[in-house]
Amino acid sequence: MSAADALEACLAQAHRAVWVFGLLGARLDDPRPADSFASSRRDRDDLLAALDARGATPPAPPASYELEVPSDLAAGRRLAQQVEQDAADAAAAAVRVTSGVERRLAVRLLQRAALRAVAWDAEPVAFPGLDRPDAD
Amino acid sequence: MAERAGVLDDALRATGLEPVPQPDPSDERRLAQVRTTLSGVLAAAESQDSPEVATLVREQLDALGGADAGATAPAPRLTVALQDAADEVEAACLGAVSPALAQVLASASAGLLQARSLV
Repeated sequence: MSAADALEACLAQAHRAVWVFGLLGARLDDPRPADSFASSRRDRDDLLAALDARGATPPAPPASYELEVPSDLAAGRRLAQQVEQDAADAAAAAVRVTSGVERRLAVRLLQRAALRAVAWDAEPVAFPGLDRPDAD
Repeated sequence: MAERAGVLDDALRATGLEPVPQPDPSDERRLAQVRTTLSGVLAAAESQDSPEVATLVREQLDALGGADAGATAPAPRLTVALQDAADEVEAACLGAVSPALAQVLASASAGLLQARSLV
């Protein structure tokens, strides 16, 4: 995977997160969607700037996403945690193929996704974004 | 050198990544410094009665080659120690030569930030 591909994968996750947290904000009586929406939008904007600096033209986001609309807070929490897990996975992959300012951005994306995940009650883990075959 | 290279290989394997053929000496130094930093956080977590943080940091240390036996608890509160450690591990990540090590350290840094929620 090239650095540009990895950053575009992160951008795709950020677009999805912005869409999901907008949806959750409209459906849940909870302050967290607004916070996550703002943070994810920051991710998106940082990624757009990074790709622009590369001279790349990232693909536009889809108009909507196929997913089960959460019916209650518990379902919303699960969806939010999954969105952040996916964002963390993409960011961790980007760290591996980037350097300099792009690696710094990938680290920031990973940290932000990890913090948003715990804000949605995910259990803290030793290595967010990494699939560990067995911790033992 | 062979023993130190083995530690880095073990660290990468433990986090599900492939070992590097010939670790850069500067990466070995970074990894050693990260272990010292994490050992200090572990000592702080144990002395400040935070078993969940201790478990998480111990898992990181196990994957990165083990704790330094002589580490002492840092002076700051545990939340400050975690933030400082996250910053130090991030700095090591940004300078890492090995892409795989950079990935592990970035993830560890994020894990330390998550651990503040346990304090």
